[in-house]
Amino acid sequence: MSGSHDVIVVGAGPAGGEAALAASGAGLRVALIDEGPAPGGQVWRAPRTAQAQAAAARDPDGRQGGALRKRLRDASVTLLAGAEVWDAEPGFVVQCLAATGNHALQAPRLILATGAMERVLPFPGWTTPGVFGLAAATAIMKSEKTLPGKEIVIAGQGPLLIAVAVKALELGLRPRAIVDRAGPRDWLRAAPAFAAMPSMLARGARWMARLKAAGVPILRQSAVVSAGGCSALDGVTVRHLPSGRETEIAADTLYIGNGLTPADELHRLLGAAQTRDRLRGGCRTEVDADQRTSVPGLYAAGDGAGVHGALPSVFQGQIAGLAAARDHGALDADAFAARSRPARRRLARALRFADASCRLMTFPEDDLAEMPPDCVVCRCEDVRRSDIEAAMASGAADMNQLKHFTRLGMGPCQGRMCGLNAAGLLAPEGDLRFTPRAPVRPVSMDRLIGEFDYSDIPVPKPAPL
Amino acid sequence: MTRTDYDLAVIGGGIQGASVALFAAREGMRVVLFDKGALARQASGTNAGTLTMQMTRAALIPYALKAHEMWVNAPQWLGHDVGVVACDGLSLAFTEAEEEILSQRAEARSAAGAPIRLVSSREAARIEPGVNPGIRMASHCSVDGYANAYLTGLAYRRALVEAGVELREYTPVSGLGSSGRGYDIRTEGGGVTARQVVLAGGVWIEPMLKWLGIDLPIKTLINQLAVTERAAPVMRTVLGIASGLLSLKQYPHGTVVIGGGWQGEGDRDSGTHRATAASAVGNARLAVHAIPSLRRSRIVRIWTGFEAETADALPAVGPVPGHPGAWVIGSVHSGYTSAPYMARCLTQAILGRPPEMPLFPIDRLLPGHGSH
Amino acid sequence: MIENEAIQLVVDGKPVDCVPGQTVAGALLAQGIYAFRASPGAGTPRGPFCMMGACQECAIEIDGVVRRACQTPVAPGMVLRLRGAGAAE
Ligand SMILES: Cc1cc2nc3c(=O)[nH]c(=O)nc-3n(C[C@H](O)[C@H](O)[C@H](O)COP(=O)(O)OP(=O)(O)OC[C@H]3O[C@@H](n4cnc5c(N)ncnc54)[C@H](O)[C@@H]3O)c2cc1C
Ligand code: FES
Repeated sequence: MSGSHDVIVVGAGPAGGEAALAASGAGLRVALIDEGPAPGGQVWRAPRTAQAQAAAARDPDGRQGGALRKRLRDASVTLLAGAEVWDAEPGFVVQCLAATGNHALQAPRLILATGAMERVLPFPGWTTPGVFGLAAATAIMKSEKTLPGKEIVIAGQGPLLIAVAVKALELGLRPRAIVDRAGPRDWLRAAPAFAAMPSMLARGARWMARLKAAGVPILRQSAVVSAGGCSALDGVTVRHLPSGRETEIAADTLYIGNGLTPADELHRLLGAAQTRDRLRGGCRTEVDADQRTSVPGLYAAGDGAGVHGALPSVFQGQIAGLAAARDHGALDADAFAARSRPARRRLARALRFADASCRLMTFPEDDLAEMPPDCVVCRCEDVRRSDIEAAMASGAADMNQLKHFTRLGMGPCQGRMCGLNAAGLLAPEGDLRFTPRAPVRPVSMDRLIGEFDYSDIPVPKPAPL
Repeated sequence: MTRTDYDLAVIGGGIQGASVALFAAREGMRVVLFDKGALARQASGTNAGTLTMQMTRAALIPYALKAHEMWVNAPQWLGHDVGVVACDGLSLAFTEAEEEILSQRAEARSAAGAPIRLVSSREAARIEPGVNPGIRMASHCSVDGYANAYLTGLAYRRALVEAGVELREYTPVSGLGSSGRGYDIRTEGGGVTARQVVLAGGVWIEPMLKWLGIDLPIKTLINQLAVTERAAPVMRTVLGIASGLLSLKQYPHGTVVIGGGWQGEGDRDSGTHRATAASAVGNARLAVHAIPSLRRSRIVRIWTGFEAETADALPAVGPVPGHPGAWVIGSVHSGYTSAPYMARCLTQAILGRPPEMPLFPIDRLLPGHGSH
Repeated sequence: MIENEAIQLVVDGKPVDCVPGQTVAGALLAQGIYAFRASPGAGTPRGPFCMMGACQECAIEIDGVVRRACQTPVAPGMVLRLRGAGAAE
């Protein structure tokens, strides 16, 4: 599986899948890598159990994912599923770990389509088992057609709240409440853009009607401010933001999410230029009209380059794949223009809708300041807000110092869960990030080193005595 | 108002420069310390923290032994914690050739004063139950241990502030000139003057010495390290191998740091460096070969740092020839280990006292200097 | 084709049934097991959080090595050790 290709695509969601297909359609030798067991990414996640497979056939996302997987099977794309990319070296050499061990792939071009991660505004109790991300709910429902919990609360912001609640109803679970940071006015403001996508609007209206019929209460302009219980969740405290009034809701499971942020570890590792952009999830990678980054040979598409959502990702992926083919010399200027034209047109239209939902999902950066001192910020190392403040008092002024003074970000999530939140506490107006480093995933020693003979280790010459 | 004239200006806030600044200020000097970044963010904050004799050059053993004692007592003289743990150290031989290197090196180092002796594989396994039973023999040193290097910046920062050292972090020095009373230290936001100056720029002592017209070639090593996530105890010693290309220990909080001088890629002048996958794999294999149960764990970070080396791989610690009041300190092999003691000796010289142990003047390395 | 016959895992010595295709995390959650491990610092109970491989809260010992339960498909006879990951016992 190791070896050389014309282009490597990392991430097999809508952006990466389409990029791989576009590049391969233009004659390039394409390797497509994803840590998931099958292509689809988050939104078109492959169903894994028999039940989930049956359900996917009836669901629009499920059908689109199925179609992508079929097209990839039929195309001559080398697919490495279940392979975690942990390093990318300039030039490009991509290292990935699979059940079969470590593989090094090489190509002069690299398309990053790594998707997004969820952001959650920390609150006391968010580390309690039974508290999950909102996107976690979609992941497990898509792949396994189940949703953990009996008394569930769905909280956070954005269109995902409604989607998850409806799917829960379909599984026979009536959510105790939907807790939405947004108010009716925020949704109204988004309405015209949503209207540009009539099918989506209709689906939204149908969903709202179902929630109403089922009697699921929607608490607007409200947020979960704490979760109770020690080894298991027993309830959440919900605050109505304008009045400050708090109510308790008994729950054994909470799904909560405050929008998405690009999974841009590889972009940063390779030094692609970025710009702060809250609407795009905090930070976006700068790309030209053909999805080229500032690093020659490196392209970025989809949410990993800046959060836009599934539909724009499809078209950005197609453009990126074609651009790689064009730069490789496989397409001439006319062919490139002709092939990419439909994608560009549809991208422009999809973006209007995307921006409206991105606005609803913009992370409430200002509320970081409200976090109580004992609230855990870094989950891996149990670093609390008060620890961060003590470090700042000792002179920590950048993320690396904060890390050294507190161990924040030194655990296995490598700062993915805490980095942006800690940076917001350290310098609300700043643009601080950890220094990007490999491995961008914890590396299983076992898979990394495989079986070996001592004499095969290329031990360098001894240091002087 | 901040003052602009000092008794001593130290350029470079790594372990060497920060230690000199601290000791000098405690002796009553008015000291200013410059760093282009934050304190101890280069080699001194990113190194493996091994405080070992078994990787130290034989000539430096007497210094390293003194320094080890200082590290163990850091709470007393530094006043702050850098997480020092003193423990046994083992260097392993897996092959016949390694047995030979090990015996030679153990002999040279124990001749220099290190409490090192050769032990059988059975005894080694008693000292380190986690070790690969396939070793042929080991050398044991009773003076070994490690610090938590990433705490260096915080600990020194506190100590320096308490000692009254004026800290100028994120202030690169761009040049140096002689003035009537000593030296002008030039930075973007203006300059200061100081009667004496210490060049402690790590790998950047080469460009620093050029400010004074001195040409001392410094080789830049790009050492690569890795650390696992926290795990249940798998080992209790500092482990190495005969060739010196492994250093391995588990911190009390459970992480295992894997090092030994495998090389990454980078370039001193641009200041960039990066780890390579090939070195990561080689180093990890060596680590798992030494402690087999490490195979179960996961590496969470890999990083690199610049280490300085002179042509003869011995330190550059002493006066800058032809420039009274200018001093250099750096390029000390296993330099984190020896730093506090090297810095103490240099500070004594700066104060006009005879150093407890001889310095390593750079004259020997300069062009035109015959071999000694 | 995924067979639809139940698979048995061994979780801390006890048998647990699950469905082929499930992830290890999904299988445990379906049994009502939410707490997978203790945070290595403060020792507070933790369980899966992101279900997409990012947070590492689901990392446990699977067949002797630390793996993310949310990214690992179940296999017959798989041996799981909860709290095995990270807890400095
Ligand atoms: C990865 C790695 C692992 C190591 N492991 C060990 C170990 O286990 N045990 C051991 O004993 N030793 C180890 N070493 C060696 C040890 O870290 C070094 O010998 C020691 O830290 C060097 O200290 P220093 O103060 O000379 O240099 P540095 O720590 O590099 O400090 C130099 C400082 O000068 C500053 N500077 C440079 N130019 C300017 C300028 N123009 N203006 C202002 N400031 C400037 C820099 O920012 C830097 O902070 C290791 C080294 C590395 C890189
Ligand atoms: S639940 Fe987050 S990595 Fe598995």
